[in-house]
Amino acid sequence: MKSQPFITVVLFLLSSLPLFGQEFYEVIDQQIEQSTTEAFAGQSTDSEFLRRIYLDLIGQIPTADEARKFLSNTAIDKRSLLIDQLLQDPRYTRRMTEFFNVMLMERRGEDPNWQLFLSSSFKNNVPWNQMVKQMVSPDTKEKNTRGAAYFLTKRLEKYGQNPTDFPGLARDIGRMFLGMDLACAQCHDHLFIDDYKQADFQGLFAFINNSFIRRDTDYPAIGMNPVKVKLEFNSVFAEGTFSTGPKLPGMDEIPVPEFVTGEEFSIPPNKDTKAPGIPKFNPLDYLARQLPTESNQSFNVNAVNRIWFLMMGRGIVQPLDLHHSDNPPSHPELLQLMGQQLSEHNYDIKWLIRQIALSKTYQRTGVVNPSVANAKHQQYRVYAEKPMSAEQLMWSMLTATGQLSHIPREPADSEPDTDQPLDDRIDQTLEGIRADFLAAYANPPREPETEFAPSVRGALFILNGPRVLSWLSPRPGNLAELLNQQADNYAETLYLSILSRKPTSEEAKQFNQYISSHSNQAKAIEQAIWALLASNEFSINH
Amino acid sequence: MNIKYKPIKAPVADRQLFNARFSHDGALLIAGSYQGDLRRFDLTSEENKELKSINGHHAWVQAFDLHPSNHQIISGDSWGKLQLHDYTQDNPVPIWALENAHDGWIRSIAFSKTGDWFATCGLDQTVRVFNAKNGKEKQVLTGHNADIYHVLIHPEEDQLLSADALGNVIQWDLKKRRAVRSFDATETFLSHRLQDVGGVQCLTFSPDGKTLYVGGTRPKNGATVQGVPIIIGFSWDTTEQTLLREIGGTADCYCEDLKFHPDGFLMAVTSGTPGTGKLQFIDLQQDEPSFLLSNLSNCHSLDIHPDGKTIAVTTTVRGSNGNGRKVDADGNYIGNNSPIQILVPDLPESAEP
Amino acid sequence: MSRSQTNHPLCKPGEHTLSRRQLLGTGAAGAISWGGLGGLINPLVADDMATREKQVLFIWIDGGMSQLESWDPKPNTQFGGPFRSIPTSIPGIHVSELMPKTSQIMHKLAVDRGVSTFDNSHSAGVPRINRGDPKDRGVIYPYFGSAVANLMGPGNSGLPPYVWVKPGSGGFKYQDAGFLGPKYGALAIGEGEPPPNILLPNNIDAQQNMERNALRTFANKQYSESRDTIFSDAQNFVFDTAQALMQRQTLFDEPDPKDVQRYGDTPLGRDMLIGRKMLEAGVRFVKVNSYGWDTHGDNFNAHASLMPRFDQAFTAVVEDLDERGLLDHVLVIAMSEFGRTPRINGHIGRDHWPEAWSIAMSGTGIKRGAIIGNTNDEGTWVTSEPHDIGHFFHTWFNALGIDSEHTEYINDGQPLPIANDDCSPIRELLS
Repeated sequence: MKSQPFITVVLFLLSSLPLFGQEFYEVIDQQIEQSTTEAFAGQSTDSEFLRRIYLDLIGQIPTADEARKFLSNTAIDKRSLLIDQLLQDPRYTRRMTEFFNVMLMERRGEDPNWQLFLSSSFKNNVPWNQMVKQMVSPDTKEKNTRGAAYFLTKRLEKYGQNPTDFPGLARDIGRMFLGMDLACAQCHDHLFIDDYKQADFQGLFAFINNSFIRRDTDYPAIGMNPVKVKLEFNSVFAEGTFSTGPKLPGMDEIPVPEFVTGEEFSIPPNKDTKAPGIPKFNPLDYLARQLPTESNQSFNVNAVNRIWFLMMGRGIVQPLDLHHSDNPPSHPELLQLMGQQLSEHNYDIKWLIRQIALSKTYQRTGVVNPSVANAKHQQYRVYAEKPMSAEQLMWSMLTATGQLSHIPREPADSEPDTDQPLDDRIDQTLEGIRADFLAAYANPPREPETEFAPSVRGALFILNGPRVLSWLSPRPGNLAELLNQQADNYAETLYLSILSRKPTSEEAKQFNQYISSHSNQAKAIEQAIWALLASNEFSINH
Repeated sequence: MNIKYKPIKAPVADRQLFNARFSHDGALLIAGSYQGDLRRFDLTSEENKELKSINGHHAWVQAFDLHPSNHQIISGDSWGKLQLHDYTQDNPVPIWALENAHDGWIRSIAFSKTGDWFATCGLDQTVRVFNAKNGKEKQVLTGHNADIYHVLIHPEEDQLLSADALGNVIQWDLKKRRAVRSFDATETFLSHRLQDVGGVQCLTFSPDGKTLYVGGTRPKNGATVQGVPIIIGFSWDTTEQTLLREIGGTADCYCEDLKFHPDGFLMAVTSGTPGTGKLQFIDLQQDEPSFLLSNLSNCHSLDIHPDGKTIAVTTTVRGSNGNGRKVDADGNYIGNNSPIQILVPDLPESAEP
Repeated sequence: MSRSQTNHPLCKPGEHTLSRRQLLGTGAAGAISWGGLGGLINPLVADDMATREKQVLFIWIDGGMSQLESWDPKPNTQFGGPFRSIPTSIPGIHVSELMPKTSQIMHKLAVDRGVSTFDNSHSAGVPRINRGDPKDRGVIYPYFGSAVANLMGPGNSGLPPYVWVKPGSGGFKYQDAGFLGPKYGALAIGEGEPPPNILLPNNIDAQQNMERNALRTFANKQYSESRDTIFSDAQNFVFDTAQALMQRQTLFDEPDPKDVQRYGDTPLGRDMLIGRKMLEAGVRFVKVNSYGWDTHGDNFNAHASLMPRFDQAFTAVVEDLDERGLLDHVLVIAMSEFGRTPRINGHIGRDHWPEAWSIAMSGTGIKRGAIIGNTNDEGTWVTSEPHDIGHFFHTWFNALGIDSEHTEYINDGQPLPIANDDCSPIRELLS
């Protein structure tokens, strides 16, 4: 039994839903609002929306100028205009590349070919189903996309003393593309999740257990040994031996063809070039054909759930990779509709992001008033805080301090900038900055970054680390210089630059007084910049 | 060289065994056990019948050696006890026995060329020399800073060598009672976390006595040890390293035993984690082994019969690894043993005499 | 035999239980309010516990120490291995010859040789043992360190309540905390190194540091006024902890060479010494971690090398705590995720064996010299009443003055027993 009962129910309901004539974002709001009779919070302020949409779509906060411009704009449609503008911004590509890199690779490592695959895909808004196709069955001839193989090859690399983790790769294909973590079904039917069967795991496993990392290429590439027999497995509970060919949960098993020994390859291995043979039967071809398809409900639902998570901070199915009938979605109809719509829109990620961004649900305020106190996150009655990734923190701090314009264009061996006051040995290239932010804020390899995980490491980084502290003193055009040139009204500049909003009068008083009354004003400015960078309002995406 | 070997029936005791050795007349196969005795198998019987064991030891009997000219066997156990027996007796009784000859585990014993004395070594970091006739301790040699795994006597000169867990091999001057030279096999050692890993697993001389060969692993990690099995050769004249040869991959791990075949090539056995071990014949002039048998499970020792052909390899039961309880049909916990694989040359019919 | 034959390799409990947790309405892992004892403990018992200042030294021997080469030798038997057993300071009690120093302080310890647990794989065994194998209630239970940090609070030291001293990487390891939320995770000290960036830069003096943090606190207060405080609280907590650590840099000073000699110049000696300093500084729960005990191959040479180093560091820390009068306040526990198989495998190793193994304890609440539990002659099965990890969690909580059978966590309105409710304290181990 592979079908998930709630899907059946939802499909039944779909026919009665009035989709026509409505923008999809309206359907989102309808679905969210009809799920409870309790009150919803109102619309976010312009500053709230501005900061949130910048962080979510282009991975950084706006500059003070951008903030001023947006806040003073009186056009009624300024929010939707901004959404469309940001979706066309080159930094949208950067943001999506970073987000999907973290989500799909879970900090396992970096590879320029993989980066190229992601960035060219998002730049051209390549449909998600095509991207997945390239990840599970990469075409080595396509320079821009062949790095997609890194999804497979990196997971086949040995780490520590562990053997090649084929089960881990099978598990991750299930997690990332179907929203199903079948790890526990490796050795037996899942003990607590009735939907997850051992045969599901083994069927996935049979797609990849004969694959290997090619060593004859200077880019990530996957090879496949001839598959001659079905995969045999035993259950630790049930008697007997079972077997399966490659098979996706809920889909047909792929028959393993028989070949006479010596005839397995369409192109035999080449000893001179060390190129491995191309077997006539490659299960990954079938995976690419079956997995990212309209008829694969799990695939569609997983895709929209992950985009929803990107925008809303949690999945409609949460955790993202435990989609089964005992862990029902918070809004099953919405999830189903979104999945259907995404496939109807040709797996256009940008389309879906835009729809969510346009919804009231996304644009709701995060300020909690008594009517929405203690609202559960999954009700979306108030906009919930989201953690910021190491990359979002990096770009935002670079933007806030004005350091972004001081990153050397030519990385590498240029002389250190001796004017730099704090520590002239700091590597101010983007690579150096990025390494520090990842060390301070990123999770260890193989730990999903889906939950808020504040760390003493991160706190010490901002408290004492030379990296951010070196950005606080005046340099041409940066925030500290700007503030040093001012005579008053420091708080407004500070708040607009760092928190993308105007200060309240209390805040203005506090900061203006602190700076203007300080014996060492330059130092006071540094302190004030630091305090806001280190504040919770800055490090939380709200 | 073009030899094939076929296994014949493996003698199996009810305990795990160490170091199966042929008696000088080739009639017996003798091995130390994991529980206080030495086991004997009658190779002249059809079923390689097990004879009465040589008792009186404690725990592991890893160390023993056969007298060069008579039927005596000197054996030492992991609690430090030494015993001398006549191994041909039906019901062997000790000629002499000495408790606490070492403080704990005796790892290796070697008779001198005449058999008048023998040397021992072990966990207490000492090498000791005893009078074979009465078991009287003659010398205690100190200088190693680790568990000493092996003692060995040079085939021509009565020179004593000992090798330790750190990969140091020391040559002793028994007259002056001190170390005279050392051979550096520390490539076989790794300090990993809390653990000293590797060390000299085996050593042997070339028949002419001009080269000393040390076997071990180049360890990668401790705990479940992985490493590449290696053989290091040293010039007896100069102590310089003359050979470093990998004889497997990381899964093969330890080179456990080394012996020269009368035909002049080197025989080696390996036992690996997680591999399964191999027997190989190595012509040192060739890159590849001239003979490789990889279906033996974890070979721990190697000996060649006086006939110059038959080989005995102490192996372990395939599939004896495993977490958690393994019980038989009656619910009893399953132990382990060590089949001794006996291999004879697989010659074409016509070549048989 | 004491148990049914269905000894299956269970999977990570978390992966089974998250779904239920969501049904129960718990949000992100951080969804717990910080308030020392107040947030999660049933208020009825909070007063009773607040008065005690007890600490824990938890020595985690990762990979599985062989009980046969340590606490429960079976010399000269089929599976006994090469080593002798030696008498101890308790007449009639023997341990392996590989722990000569420990044998002399046996009267200060309690050892249970009748431990019988379930999981025989690391991936399942490590978390299961560390969580006390609670019954499935749809949440991820905390590791013992996070549990104690939560139940007993950080104390007055200002230091994080749960410090993990280990080889390898340091940092903030929130995963141990389970449903208690990241703030009850461990601050890990890796390779004896202080956490990076622990020193205040020399261009910021104490006054300036105070000023900038006052501004930060002001900004945080403004933000929190109209917000859910879940994330803010957790974020404030890590800043507070970071600042407390900055005040205690001497904890990371070079050790006294005499101490190094006594504890052993090994990673475990180094970490045990740091552990002692952390306890002296008032850290509530210190985990000291040794890795590399998974001896599937070459078990006996490995233990010949590993055990004396454990013996030295363990004895030194128990003696030091005792000398300083700290042993009356500190609960000491030394354990692995399981023991090792009696059967010696083909690699001359021992595999994983949860069926019959030993745990050693000392210190506050523990009856000194209590050597309890028995295995049969070959060490294959427990012949006394078998004790699962749930029994030990009850025992340890009671040793710390926490009534394990009546204290509950309150998680999102759901009361949760702090230890497996099918188990109970082992009275013979309690003083």
